[in-house]
Amino acid sequence: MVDDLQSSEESAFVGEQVERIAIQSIELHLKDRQYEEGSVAGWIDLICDSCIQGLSALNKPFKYVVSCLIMQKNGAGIHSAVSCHWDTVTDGCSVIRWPGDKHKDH
Amino acid sequence: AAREVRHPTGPSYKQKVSVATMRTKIQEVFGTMLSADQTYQSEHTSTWTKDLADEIKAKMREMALPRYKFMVQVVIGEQRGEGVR
Repeated sequence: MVDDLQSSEESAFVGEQVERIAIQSIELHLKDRQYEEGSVAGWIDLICDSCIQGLSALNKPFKYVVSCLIMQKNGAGIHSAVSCHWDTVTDGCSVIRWPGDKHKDH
Repeated sequence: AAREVRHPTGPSYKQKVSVATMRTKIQEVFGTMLSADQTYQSEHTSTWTKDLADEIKAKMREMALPRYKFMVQVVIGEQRGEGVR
């Protein structure tokens, strides 16, 4: 039987940890780059791969779903929503917007 | 020591989710909640996105699949010729 203290630390979803891994993966591939139609598909794959590698390295008893969307900046609006049916005690979700919000509208 | 009990690592064939059924249900939600001549309005799109995600999740829960977890993500973007991937 697993020790209770150990299992609660090692099998909890830690938001900050996950966000750090995601932001590192994004910056690794997108820092100082401009939007390029030909390269975007490749960047998406690389970012998702880096995220999954970083997350699996945590060795936590989790399955991971990583989704990446890259949009060219031209003033168009975009909205995203996530609705999940899971175990709220153990599971969690992190949504990262990069670069971060400089102006907060609405 | 020999393992006598076999532990299933996935759902049994009967309990497995059908991707085709899920797709049909999602299309049903689109049919009722989206229309081809809708224009982008920033104020109510954020509620609209959330409603769509919740409605799809509700439809998935109706399927009553044992032990399944669901993650629904909805993205609505304004069409202005920008590239999106």
